[in-house]
Amino acid sequence: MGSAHENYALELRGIEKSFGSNRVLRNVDLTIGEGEFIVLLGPSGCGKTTLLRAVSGLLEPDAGKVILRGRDITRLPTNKRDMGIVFQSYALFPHMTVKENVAFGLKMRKTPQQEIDQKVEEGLRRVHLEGYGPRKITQMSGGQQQRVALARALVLNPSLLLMDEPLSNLDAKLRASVRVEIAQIQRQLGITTIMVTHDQVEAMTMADRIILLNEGVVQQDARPVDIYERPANQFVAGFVGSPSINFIMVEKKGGRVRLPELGLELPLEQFLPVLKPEDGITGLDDGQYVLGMRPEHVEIDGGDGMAAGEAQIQYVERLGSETLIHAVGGEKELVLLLPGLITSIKSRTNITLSFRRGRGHLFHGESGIRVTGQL
Amino acid sequence: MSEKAGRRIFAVISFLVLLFTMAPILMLFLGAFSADNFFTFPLRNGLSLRWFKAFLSSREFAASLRVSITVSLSATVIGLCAGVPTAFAIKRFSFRGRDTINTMVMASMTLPRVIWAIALLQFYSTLHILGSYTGLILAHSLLVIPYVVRMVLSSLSFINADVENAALSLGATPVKTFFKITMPLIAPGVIVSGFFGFVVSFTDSVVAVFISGVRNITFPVRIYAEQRGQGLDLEAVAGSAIIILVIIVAEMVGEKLFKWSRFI
Repeated sequence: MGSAHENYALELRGIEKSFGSNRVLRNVDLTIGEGEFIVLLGPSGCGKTTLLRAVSGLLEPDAGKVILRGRDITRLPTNKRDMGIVFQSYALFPHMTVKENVAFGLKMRKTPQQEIDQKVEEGLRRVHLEGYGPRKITQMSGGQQQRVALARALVLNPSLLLMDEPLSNLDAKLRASVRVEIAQIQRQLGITTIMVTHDQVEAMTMADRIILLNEGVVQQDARPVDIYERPANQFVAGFVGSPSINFIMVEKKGGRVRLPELGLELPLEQFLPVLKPEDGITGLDDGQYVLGMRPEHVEIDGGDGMAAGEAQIQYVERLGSETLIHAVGGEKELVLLLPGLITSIKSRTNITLSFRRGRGHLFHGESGIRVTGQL
Repeated sequence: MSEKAGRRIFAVISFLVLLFTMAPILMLFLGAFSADNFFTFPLRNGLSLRWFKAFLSSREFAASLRVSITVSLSATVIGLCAGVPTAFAIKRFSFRGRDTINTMVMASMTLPRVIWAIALLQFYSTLHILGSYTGLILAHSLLVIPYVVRMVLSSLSFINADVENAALSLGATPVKTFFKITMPLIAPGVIVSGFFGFVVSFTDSVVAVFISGVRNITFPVRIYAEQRGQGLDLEAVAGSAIIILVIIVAEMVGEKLFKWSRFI
């Protein structure tokens, strides 16, 4: 890698961090363009919050570089970094009013009082809290406190907005509306944003790009659609998508393919059409593989799909706009997701399964890495 | 045993505790208001204010009170200036020796006071500050510091470190963050620790006996000396009654204002 690229808002190079013997971040590289909304997604303990803290300067990485708009800020203290942070706990100043909270950063910058008043008002209006300035923090609801925290972070017009699980303390209904609100404000201001979450719905709906982390390693760095449609490995495929993807063991030997859990054996030519055509797989080496089929791509008596044998329905969950079916074929439990509210299907009935053509994801049995034609 | 009887036993025990705590204090007040020349129970000649008058016009007691207040106030100020940053460092930073500091800072609270006093006597005599105000104030700040550290530690655990981090992210320097955010939030704990630190210093007689020498005699030491010299001296008893009253009133006001029992 040569000199810093001026056109990136933020660059992370080889970030490493350990707590004792626990390597929390392993050689993380990342580039973010101006105005992008990046979501760091992963299970708890994956290192996403640690990475955000390394970006904010609240934590110093053991190795690697943080480069903001072409400038190495790895050793720069937080108060000189020009970043707005929204904390999971909101971290509002409880001894100050709403207005004093939002004005705090401007005061630290010795902004003239008139300008402070105007900017605070503008900031509160942006998050729909006009008139709340004189209130005490303790008089505000959780959702309002969250918006004060956002206004406080945005009022300085920082080059980077960092949010650590900003929605996790809100109840489900509020979360959905605040989700939309934050995404709108972000696009309106065009502010480069990194948000940490463990919630895949937030990641899928809000992000321009998702960085999926597990055990301190970037698993995939891609647009939400690509994360869902072409997961880079078995972990990503299993983490994103609800209900979870079905994983089916596959053994390939000679010209034949066996799916032992389902008690199936078929010629390779009949198996390959089930895989995504964009993966360009025309042949397979002998060995172990894992086939990933999303619940919406497992069907009952599906026309031209791959016949996947008989199964018995164990349990039906009717969610309203869709219906979930848990079925056992051979010794394998599979989950099917059918559109609409289906009342005609009952437990204990036998069905014929099929896998929709061109929808299967194939992973190497040992490494879990996605199989593509290039390999 | 029925539930009612059980509850009654607990009530009786707590009432007895109160009685055993208050009885000597009440007795002391009775003696302070006595019109007799020495204390008898019951009082022979009824009540009077003569011992209060005697106490308030006594030069020795006035001098020793002045010494005590000067020493305790100074020790409290030093204790706060040293204890608050120490507690902050223990709570917020990780550094080599942090646990040792945390343990050792409590030492003067847990070690027998008389052993402390002997150690200080030895140490201060080599520093040639024995018998001076400086020595007495330094020795007493050592009594104050552990109280300050402990109470400030507990106040700090009530605030989320991210509140301070938020201030940093908004451009406040660490020093500004400490004074604008941390200090206002832990202020009640600091005030309470200052009060208790003052009381600990003010009530100490053991360390003072060893360190103060003959010139700067503190109030508790003076009272102790009077009692030994002339039997139960009612002038000192009246003085003690005043001190008790001041402290109890201060505690009640403090509880009302800061609910300070939560820090102890």
